[in-house]
Amino acid sequence: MTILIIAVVVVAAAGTGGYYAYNTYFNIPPPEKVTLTMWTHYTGNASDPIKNYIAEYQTLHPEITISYEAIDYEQLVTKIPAEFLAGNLPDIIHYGGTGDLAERGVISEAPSDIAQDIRDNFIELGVQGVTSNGTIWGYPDEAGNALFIYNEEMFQEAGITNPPTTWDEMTEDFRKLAKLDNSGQPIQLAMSIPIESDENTAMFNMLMMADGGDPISGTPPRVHWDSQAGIGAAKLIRSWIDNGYANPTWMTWQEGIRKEKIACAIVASWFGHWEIEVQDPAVFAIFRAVPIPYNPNQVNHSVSIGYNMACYVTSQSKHPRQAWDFLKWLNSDTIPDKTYTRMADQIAIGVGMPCCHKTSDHPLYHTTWLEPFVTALRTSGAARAMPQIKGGTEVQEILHRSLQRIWVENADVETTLEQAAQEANNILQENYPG
Amino acid sequence: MEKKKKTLNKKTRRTLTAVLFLLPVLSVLTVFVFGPVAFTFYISFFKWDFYTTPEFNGLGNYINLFTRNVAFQTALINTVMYTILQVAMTIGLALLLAFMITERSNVLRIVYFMPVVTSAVADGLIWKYMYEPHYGLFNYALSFFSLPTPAWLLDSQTSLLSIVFMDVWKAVGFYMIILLAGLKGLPRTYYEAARTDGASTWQSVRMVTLPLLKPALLFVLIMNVLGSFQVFTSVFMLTQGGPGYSSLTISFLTYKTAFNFFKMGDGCAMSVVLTLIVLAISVFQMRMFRKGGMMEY
Repeated sequence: MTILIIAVVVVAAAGTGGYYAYNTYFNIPPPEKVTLTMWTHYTGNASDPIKNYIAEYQTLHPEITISYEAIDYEQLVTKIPAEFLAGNLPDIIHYGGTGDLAERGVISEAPSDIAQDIRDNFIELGVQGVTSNGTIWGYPDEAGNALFIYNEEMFQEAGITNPPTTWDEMTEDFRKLAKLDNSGQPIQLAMSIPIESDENTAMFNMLMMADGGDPISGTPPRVHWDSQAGIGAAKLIRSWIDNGYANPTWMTWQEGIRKEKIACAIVASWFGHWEIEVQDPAVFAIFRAVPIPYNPNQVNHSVSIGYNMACYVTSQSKHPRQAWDFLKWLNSDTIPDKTYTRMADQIAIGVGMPCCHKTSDHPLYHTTWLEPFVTALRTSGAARAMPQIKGGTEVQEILHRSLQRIWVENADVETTLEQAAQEANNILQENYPG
Repeated sequence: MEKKKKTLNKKTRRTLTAVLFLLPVLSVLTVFVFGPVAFTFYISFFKWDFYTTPEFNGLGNYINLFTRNVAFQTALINTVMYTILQVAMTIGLALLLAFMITERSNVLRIVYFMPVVTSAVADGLIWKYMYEPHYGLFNYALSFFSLPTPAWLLDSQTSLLSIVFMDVWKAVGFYMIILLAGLKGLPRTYYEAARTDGASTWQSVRMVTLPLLKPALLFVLIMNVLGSFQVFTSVFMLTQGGPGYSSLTISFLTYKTAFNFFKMGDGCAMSVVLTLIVLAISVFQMRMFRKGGMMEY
């Protein structure tokens, strides 16, 4: 027994001495203790998957501690600049708006290996969404795009067997769907016009692209709302109102869709879940999504606008390499025995869609509702991100209010869009002289 | 000489004591009020997006507001319109209610005062539902009497008015209480004298009550105008300044410009302009109402 104890002590001493001798000789320092801080907008139960994955990563990398903070998205808008000024930004932020953040020096460029990983493994829309001035700035994760959604039962009642694919078909279907009473007041409308929300500008931009136009493009970037395509799209929407197919002031569009008083809309994927399914599952079950109808005189396929959020490493991070390695593990590496990534699992809770190619088998993305959105998102050329520009928020606000004036005040389409484009381009000229 | 020295020391001591007592409050005011106001004024001469170093722009921000910023010009007009409507309706209604419930029970006072203490955000949410064109309470009531049903918040013609209605409902109780206190403080002798001279009720109100109530009315007017020019919560909750620019106000535009568009210089310039306008109006009001009240009577 004594000999056994002595033997154990000798072996332990030899091992420890050998370890330090080895490190000393080869000058290998012990692993640095690193704490990473991360902000996302996943609050409450919605943050359970990511918290579990953080715990898993910490087990795999004991030298790394990740401090997770959930902040409401609206609060992040003002918190990020305030903390940037104070020098207190976290290592990682999960946010949207690459252009603004990159131009202002808030976030760091992705290292070359990470940038290559993003180009190789993420969808076109996702890569566009994190690219500014030709450089990749973050891991795109949660994407969303918009399609034409319609109430299948209302279509059947109107005698429409197939949803429209072109503008002419859409107009004809609307004529069948809209119903007015004897005094000319609507009983049922064909199409919703979301004048209160960002969906307003998204709908216009998508119809403009479906008319062969490009809302914002060029180097330096400029808006083209007053082009033939933009005027065409605005006049199309205006004609719906004039013909009684749509009425932005009759009732709010969410109410109209939920109460089956409005048959169609152009909305994002998450809208179906949060605004329809959660509120009224029975109504949700009869909604279908198809590509947005296009003008065949100008283009030969449908195009949707997509957007995405991303995980960025901030410029104030003291451990950028460790932060990027964690983000790669979270966003790009698949879960063992599964064919989707950890971030895909997190995003599934909010019914958003992941940007990584390695997510095709996640069960959520094979539902009747989401599959068309996923297909459009992953089909090259079918979904495009809007250019990431500085001042983008203000520019979209100008478009939003101008469109409201056209729909509600019956302002002249050409004049209003021309004034809006001029005002927006003045702002872009200040941000991008040349 | 020694006695004079002792008096000076006593005066100095008193001054020092007063300063010491005021120091904590002044410190807080300096940090949280005077400091930010001065900083706002300073930044209004710069272009600053919060992230990068401020760039001196002289009077450029101010010139831009009045020559190129269509949103600001529209917001200024809207804010003035809102103030005129809101102040007239609130004070008129508050005065009427004060007259009506002078001798009544406390229950009515509580009922009219309750909107004052409710959360402005909660009020906004509820009124938004009530204004809903198809299913809202207001249009339901109007359709019951076969009256026209406007789109309220979704119509440029009625969006600003809708905000005015909600804010009048919210504020009238507060000003009613102030005017009520003013009415209660008026001596009865003037009314007895007026009755003796054969004055009617309306003549008593016009020639006795209103002149004596001037100080209270001035206070109510200044407070209401100050508050109206800074209207924000109801715009934020109900319309976000739309449709178009129809209900856009200066405070809301200042918030959007500074915290959504990250144009702090322009936002600060808007704040300074608003402050100057409100200051000018307050001075004007005080001069207008300088005479009046019981002392003058």
